[in-house]
Order: sequence, then structure tokens, then C-alpha cells
Amino acid sequence: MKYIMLRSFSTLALLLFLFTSTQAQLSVKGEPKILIKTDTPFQNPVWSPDGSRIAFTSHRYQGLWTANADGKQIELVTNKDAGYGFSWSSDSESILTRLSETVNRRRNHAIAVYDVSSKSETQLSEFRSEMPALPRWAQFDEKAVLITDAGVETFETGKQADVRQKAMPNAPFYVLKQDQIAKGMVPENSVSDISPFDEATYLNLSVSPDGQKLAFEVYGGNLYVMNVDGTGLIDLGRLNNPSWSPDSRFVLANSIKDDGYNFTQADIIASRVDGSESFNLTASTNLIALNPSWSPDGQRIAFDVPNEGAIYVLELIN
Amino acid sequence: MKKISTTLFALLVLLGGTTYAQEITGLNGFSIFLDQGHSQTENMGLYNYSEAEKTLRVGLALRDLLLELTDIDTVYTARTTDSDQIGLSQRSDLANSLGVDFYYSIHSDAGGPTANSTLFMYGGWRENGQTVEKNPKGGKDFSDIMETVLPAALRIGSRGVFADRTFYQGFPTNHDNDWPYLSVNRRTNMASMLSEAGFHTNPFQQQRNLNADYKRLEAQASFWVVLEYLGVERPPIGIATGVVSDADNGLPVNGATISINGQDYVTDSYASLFNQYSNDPDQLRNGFYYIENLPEGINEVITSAPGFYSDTTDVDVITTDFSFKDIGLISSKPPVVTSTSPVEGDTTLNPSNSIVINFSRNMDQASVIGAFSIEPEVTAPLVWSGSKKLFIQTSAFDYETEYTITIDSTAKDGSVYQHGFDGDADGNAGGDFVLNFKTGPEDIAPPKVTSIYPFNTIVDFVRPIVSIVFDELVDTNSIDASSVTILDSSQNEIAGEYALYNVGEQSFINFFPTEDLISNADYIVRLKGGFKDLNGNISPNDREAPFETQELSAINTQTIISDFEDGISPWWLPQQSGSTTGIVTEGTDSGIDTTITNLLTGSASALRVDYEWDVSAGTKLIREYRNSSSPKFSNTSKLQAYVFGDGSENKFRFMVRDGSSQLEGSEWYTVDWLGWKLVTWDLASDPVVGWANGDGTLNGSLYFDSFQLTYTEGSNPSGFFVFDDLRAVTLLVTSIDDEGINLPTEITLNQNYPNPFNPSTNIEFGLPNRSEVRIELYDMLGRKVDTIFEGTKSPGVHIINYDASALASGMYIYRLVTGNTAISKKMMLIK
Repeated sequence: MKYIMLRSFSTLALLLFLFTSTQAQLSVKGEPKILIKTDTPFQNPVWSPDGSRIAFTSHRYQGLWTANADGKQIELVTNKDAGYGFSWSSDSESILTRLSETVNRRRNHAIAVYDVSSKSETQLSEFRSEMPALPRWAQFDEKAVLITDAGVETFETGKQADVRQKAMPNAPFYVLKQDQIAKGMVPENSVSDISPFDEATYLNLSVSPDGQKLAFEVYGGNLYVMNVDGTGLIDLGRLNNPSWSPDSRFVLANSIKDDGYNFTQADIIASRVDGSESFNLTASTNLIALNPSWSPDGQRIAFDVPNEGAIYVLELIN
Repeated sequence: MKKISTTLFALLVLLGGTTYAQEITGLNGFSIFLDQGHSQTENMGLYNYSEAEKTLRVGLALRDLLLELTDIDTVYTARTTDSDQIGLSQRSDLANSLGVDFYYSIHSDAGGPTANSTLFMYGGWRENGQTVEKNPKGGKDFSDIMETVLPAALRIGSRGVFADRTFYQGFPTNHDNDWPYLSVNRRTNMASMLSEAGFHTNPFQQQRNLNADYKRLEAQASFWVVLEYLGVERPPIGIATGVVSDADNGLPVNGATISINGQDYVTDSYASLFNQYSNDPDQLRNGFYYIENLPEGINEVITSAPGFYSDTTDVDVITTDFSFKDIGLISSKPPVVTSTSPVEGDTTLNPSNSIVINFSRNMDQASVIGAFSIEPEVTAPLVWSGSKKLFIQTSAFDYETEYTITIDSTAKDGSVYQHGFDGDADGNAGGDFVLNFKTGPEDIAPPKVTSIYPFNTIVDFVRPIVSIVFDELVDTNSIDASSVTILDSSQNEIAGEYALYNVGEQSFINFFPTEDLISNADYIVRLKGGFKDLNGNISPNDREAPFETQELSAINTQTIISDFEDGISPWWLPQQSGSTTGIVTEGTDSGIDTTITNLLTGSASALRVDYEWDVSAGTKLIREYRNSSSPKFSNTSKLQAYVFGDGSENKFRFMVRDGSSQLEGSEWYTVDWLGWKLVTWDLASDPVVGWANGDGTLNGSLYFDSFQLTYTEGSNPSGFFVFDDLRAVTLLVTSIDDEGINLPTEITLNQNYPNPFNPSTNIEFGLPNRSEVRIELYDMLGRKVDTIFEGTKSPGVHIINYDASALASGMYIYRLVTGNTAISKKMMLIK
């Protein structure tokens, strides 16, 4: 566990938190620093599972890039419309995403996997006029799954589970079907509805690194955490864009204000998974801080600033 | 496969009577996200009806048209009820996750009471001298089509089609930020655009917006846009629409019945609709009607309304567009006198002023002149302004004499019906109109001075603005530069400029010293005699008002927030802020004032805020918002503005946003003064009042949020304030005594702050002597990129605020040059 909970205040630290508390605090080291800023505006940074690279997209989710953890060696993976809802493979070598192309005013969608090193694209499905869901990795990344009205559709990704993984029981996958949070299994291709609310639309589902919790938004509502069996629902309040701390004890999310045309304020909030405490990690800055991603080593949080087109990083006190 | 919004849980409300022969094809495989701008009652417009409520209904009506009439795959809406609260982040995330083909964001606009137009913005920016649209393209095409359809449907103008960044940031060769400006265009990965369909702050527009079918008209026009965007022909439908109004005055008629081809439509009335938005049964009206499914060709239109003659006309119905037919009804009521000046029983009429009689409608001028008489007889020429306003010239009237004006029942109106005049206003033609009044005594008194500032008081600022107020209007020709001055104890004149202002029925003078007073000294304000009122009555005697100074202060450092010399671009109109409430919008506005300015700083323009309060409203607040987070200033400085008061005793206050993003304000200042006055909020020691999310403390560095105005019970409900030279300062005691003043002993250049910065920073330097100063900016290759300041500065410490918005990110060197001295330092701009 690399992120730090301090019991004493460091004179060098800027202590930032939402609520007065006598408990341990999450602390950040100084002001956020620019990690990546080029002529191309970037957004939505996501650390690779091994922490060596960071993947991100550009405005309107056009293209995919990666860079080293220090923001250097920026590489274009694809300039296609592929940047919304992408996800890293567990070996940090591939990115699964949904592609789009426009024909006759209509967008067609396909599932694709990119090899981050070679930049090669493997298109897993044909282009379709409707694909109102995002693909997810399943069965130790050997498969990609897509939930449709007909059920679960699976695609071979070409990746092979290692010996250790093959010895483990198969893990379920979790996907959104817009009005459902679904738990699925392959190769059974079974799917069950674990939605906590009867009438709700769900967004931005994020599975904890330990595989035990789900964080998700309710459209027009709050951010919630629950156990993967659908129990233990915790309301974390009006937050967006959830992601997880590497030890699964914190949910990282945004508190956003807008004027109906643009964001006027966005802070990064780290909430204990039991909802007992929250920390505003960007209270000291006027930056509009969006889409936070916690580095696997627990020491840094990357985020984007939409009006600057830059990716910033916050360092946590070690 | 046809789906409805996943956020829709109620049964779909089917269209009210729109019928088509068959389903419209050509939309198969297409999906659209209808983003009804804002939530709940956000962006409140006039009559307590919000942009959010309007756009919700436009979007739902458009959804219904698309789902019921076409083979479209899917229509999603951002909201389905007034209670939904959806942020921008979730709207674009939902559309992106669903993979829709087009994102249409539906809005209306806000501004002053006369502004009303449409606007269309797709995602785009400037690059190498060209305007670039985001990919996937389509937003511009949709916008171009919409501009040909929606303004014609709403019958209001268009400000045009813009790439969103060009609308907000102009047309440079290259925009620094080469991506869409609006969130709905930047964060969506499909073709997108945003429309502004009229102003919800415009009374004319907003009264129509209240009508349910007016929103269906907007939806119908948008429906045709979607069809054309996809290359689909409009299906035939006959729709007649228009406005029923009173032919006399053009006012829309409430409760009128329009009958076309067996269908009746009754226009909104207080009983049917407007009672939800006003307590005044006569305030609101739109006269709007909308009848669908009419046969092509000539249709008879019969219109009737209580108090009007029935009208029969026809409309040529086309089936490919709206068929507009406006109807003017002629009132069946006889004409009456609606108002006079003077009013009945007045005893103060000045014979130099004309009498005014206003009629309810255009009159037959000859018949009115024939019906007019005055007792006792006196020469009283009659002059018409149009045919509804009659002026009676009174220059031949005697002082202190009772008169009676009569217009008898032979007067007629100017309509084809030649209604007889209802002189006694009993609702029936006939009876005389009678106006009794008395002229006042001749004005032989000269103007009096009611107050002088400063007078028998202690002044603590080196250049106090002198104010002299008269009890009536003063002849401007009787006041000149020698009329008012400040004299020191040796009777030497302090140089300065004067200005004479008239507000209402009073004149007042401000005198602006152009040289500093000294500490601990005696002075006299002198107004020379010889000033006259408008009737030539002269006041021969001088007036003198002694005052003294204590330890005087001058500005040590200052951060200019707004001096308004380059316009008021960061400042919103009062109606643009959702916090503004309890106003009469027609009487409320803000803008540049170039006639009332602060001469103390040589100002050529200032910010004027006109207000009119709705005294029946519960909460009354104007938030004159400054939409910029720079410059920043310290929470230990003094916030100052020169405020030109109207003497109304209404109030204003400063509002800032602090480092915790909380809104903190000063206490209210009661504006009981006429003319200019320097108002200071000492941020370190004066009270701080939290507003909205504020907590009454000033945390960290601050930036200015707004001037706020409110009403004082019993005071004048309308008036204006003018603001100039808004700044944050530190002060310096100027007395040259044993202690001396803390002037720099050498030329200094301090590190800029903040640093790094974006986009503005402060550069502080010190001068031991009055000097010519130049501050230049260089890039790291030694190329000069800007001159930050060039001019003369007095001894002391100075701060120059520099806005680097036009520069690219990077390290720069700023260099101060004065005499033979040059000092350089580095600064970092991070965008």
C-alpha cells in the first residue's frame, strides 16, 4: 500500500480535506504539476496496471496515446475515434476499446484491441450501426465481452492466460447495460442483473482492483459503491467519474459544478469505500480537475484539466 | 428497432392531433440525443419561468414527433421531468456510452430586455486562418439547416452559425485552444451542435415561451431540421399559426377564439395560464395560436374575443411549412382618456410645461379638437403626437389660476367604426371628460444649496471628491470652471475639474482635485454666487464650507480590476445571472456610460447599472457579475470603487470569491448620496458577510465576483448607479513629518506573483523618485514579445497587472528599465 494516511501534519504538506476529522488524512504534496501538455489537447488519463505507462485520449475522445509515467515518450496508438471507455489489459500490453466510424450521418461501431507496443489493431467485431454498450475484458483477458439485448457476446482477444491464472477459478465480469448493472460469466455466457435500483440508468461502472466492489453513477443521481453480489450499497454523494485506489479502500471521483455550458469547478474527491470520510485533494487549486486515475504504486493521481488540454499529476505524501 | 429514452418511465404522451398518412422513412439506423439544456428551474427567465422548463418541453415534443412519425432507431432525452438534475458530465457520458449518432443541445438565451435572437454553435475553432469543425462532422450542416428553419419559425432574427470557439473568442488566425469551446461539443464523440432559440429575458419572447404549443412549434421546426439533415423530405402537414392582437395598440389578446376548418383554438389567458406566472391579471399576454392538420389552400379564419369585434379573414395554408396569419382585432369599447399630466386636482402646474392627455386608442383628431374647450378662456394651442397623445401648450396661462379642460362626447376614435368618446369612462360612449387643475405660483426663489461635502468634517484621502447639491435644476450656463474650488489656508486654489449633473429634479456638482491636499491642514470649499435656476432666478452669494485634513492616505499599490476604459466585456447583464431576481426587466440593464465618469482618474467610460424593482416581489437582488477570475488580490487589501449615487437610498455591496471558492461580500452600502463617492471595503477589518456558499471569512487570494444591488423598502423603485475604477489597493500615509514615509531607497523589481501564472500576474517594483519607467517582456531567445508598461510613475511601490492571454506557455523574462538602471526577472506562463 503506497498511498499514505498521515497522523501528523507535515509542515511541507498542504493538507486538504472536505470535512474536519481527527482521523488519518489523505495528503498531497504541494500543488498539482503538469505531466503532459502539447499542442494536442489531452484528457482522460488511465494508468497501466504495472504503472509504467499512462494512456489517454484527446478532445471528443478522438485517438489514443500512451506516455511513460513521467509524461515523456508520448506515442500515438491510433488516431481513430477510439478514446471513450477504453481499458487496459491486466498485462499492460493491450487496450480494449470501441471504435466508431461515420457513414451517411450515422456512426458504426466495432470492438478492437490495440497492442500498445506495436500499435497494431485487431478488430474483434464487424462494424454495427448499434452498439449502446462498451466492451470489457473477461476470462483473464482471453476474451472480450459485450452485453446486448440478446445476452453476452464474446470475442477472442488472442491473449493467453498464464499458468497461474489458468489454475485460478474463472472470475465474473461486470458491465453496464444502461438500465442494468450486469454480472456475467464466460464461457457460460450467463448474465444476471445485480442492479440496486429498479428504475435507474447507470454510468461509469468501475470494478475495484481486488474485484470485491463496484463503483458506479446513477444518471441524475449520486455515486454509489456496493459489493459485487449487489449488497452493501453505500451512497457517496453527488460525484462523477469513479476510479479506485490500488488497495481498493478509496474511491476517487469528481465533484463538478457547471453552468450548463461549461464546467465552472471540478475537484478530486477521495472517499473511503465505507463512505465514512472524504478528502478534497484539489481544494488548494482553481484547476478544473477531471477524470482522476490513481497510479498503481499509490503515489500519484493523474487527471486532466479541460480548459488547458493538459494532464496534471498530484503527488501524495509518502 | 425503435426505443425511447431510457430515462423515460412514464407512458409516452402521444401527439395531440398531428396526423400523417404513413410513417416517414429514411431515419432507420439513426439515433439522436436530445439534450435539454440545464435542469429543474435553472437559468430563471422572466415571470419565474426558466430556460430549463422550456427546453425540457421542446425536447420532449421533438422526441414525440421523431418517435411517432418516423422510422428512427432511437431517441434519447437528457431529461424527462422538471425534477431531473443532470450535470454536463453525465449528459455527454450517457450519449457517448450509448454511441448515438447526433447530439442536439437545446437552449434559450439571456440578456437585456430588448435582446432577442437565435444562435447556432457547432464544435469548432480557428486553425491556420481557417475555421475547423470537429470530427465527426455534421454539427455545422445541422446548424446551417437550422438557421434557415428556426428563425423563420420563431419569427425572430439570427445572430448566425458559429464554430463555438469563434463565437466566444473571435476569429484569430489560430486559437490557442484548438478544440471546441462548449462542453457539449468538446466532450461528445459524435456530431453535435447547440441552439439558442430566443431570449427568456425578453418579455415579448418569454410570454410566448409560456405557451405549450409555441414550444411544439419550435419542436416542429427542429423536426424538419432533422429530416433535412438526413435528406428526408418533409411530410405534408398544414399548420396555421400566428398572433391575435389589439389593432389599436398592438397588444396580444388573451382569450381570443380562432376557428379554422372546424378547429377552435383559444389563446392563453390569465385564467387558463398566466395566473401561474403573475398576480397581475393584465400583465401577461401572447395571443399565440397554433392549429394543425389543416387542408392545403385557402381556409377561412374567424376570430372573436370579448370586447372586440369579430374578424373574418382567410389563410392560404401550405403543407411544407408554417402558414402564418396574424390577426388584428378592433376593440368594441369606446375610447377613453387613460392618463393626464397634470392629474386631476393638481395645483402646481408650471405654465412653462405643456399639459398631456393620453387616449386609449388613436383618435379622430378633428373631432377631438372640435370637442375641446377650456375655462377660463385662454390661448391653448393643441399639438398631437400621433393620434393617441395630445399636448396642450400653456405658455399663455396665468399663475395661481384654476382651469377646467373639457372634451365632450362628440369626439370619436379613428377606427372604421368611429366609436363615440367615453368621456366619463363608464364603459359606454358618451359623457364629457373633465380635467380640473390649478397653476402654481411664479418661481422667484433662487436655487438653494442643500448640502456640501466635505463640510465641517475631517478628510483622510489626498484627493477628496467635492459634492454640492442644489434643491432644483440649475442653469448649466450659470456654472463654470471658476464656480467651485477648494482653497487652502492661504486662499490658494487647489486645481481641479468640475462636472454638473442633473438627476430627476435636482442638480449637483462634483469637483475633482487634480493635486493632492496635505495632511493636518485647513481648507474651504467655495461655491461662487451667480448660479441660476431654469427660470433665471439667481443666487448672488458665495457659499463656503470649511473642512480639515488629518493624516492623509494615498494609494501605495493598486491592482486594477476594471477601469471600464476598454469596455465591459467580462461583465454580464443583470438578467444573465440566475441570482438576479425581483426586477422589472424592461427597466433593468447595464452598459457603458461615457457621460458620467470619474474625472478624478481621467476616466472616459464607466459601468452604469439601471435598475427597476418589482416592489411586490419577495426577494430583490441584482447581481452585476464579472465573469473573470483575474486579477487576484490579497485579503488584506482594500477594495475600492467610485460609485455615482442617485440618492435613492437603495443599496449596493461588493462580492468576491475567495480561495475556497466561497462567495463573501461586504455589508450593504445605502446609496444616500448624489454624484461620485469613493467607497472602500477594508478587507482586513470591515465586516465580511457570506452569501450563497460563503461563510463570512476571506480565505486565500480573492477575485471579484459582482456588484450587487438591492431595494430599500419605501425608496424609489427605479434609478441607476454608475461604477468606475474598481481596484484593490494598499494605502500609504503621505504626511511628510518626523516619521517620514516608507519610500523605497533604491529601484527594485520583485518576483512576479502568482508565478507560475495563467493568464495574469502582478509585477511589483519600487521607485525612490518620480521616474520614466518601461517594463518589457522577452522570450527565452531574447526576442521582445510585449511592452508591459511605459510611462511615468511616482515614488513608491507600484504593481502592474499583466494579462498574458495572447502568449503561449513558457518561460519569459520581464525587464524594468528606468534611467540607466535595468533589472530583469523570469516568469513562467502555464496555460
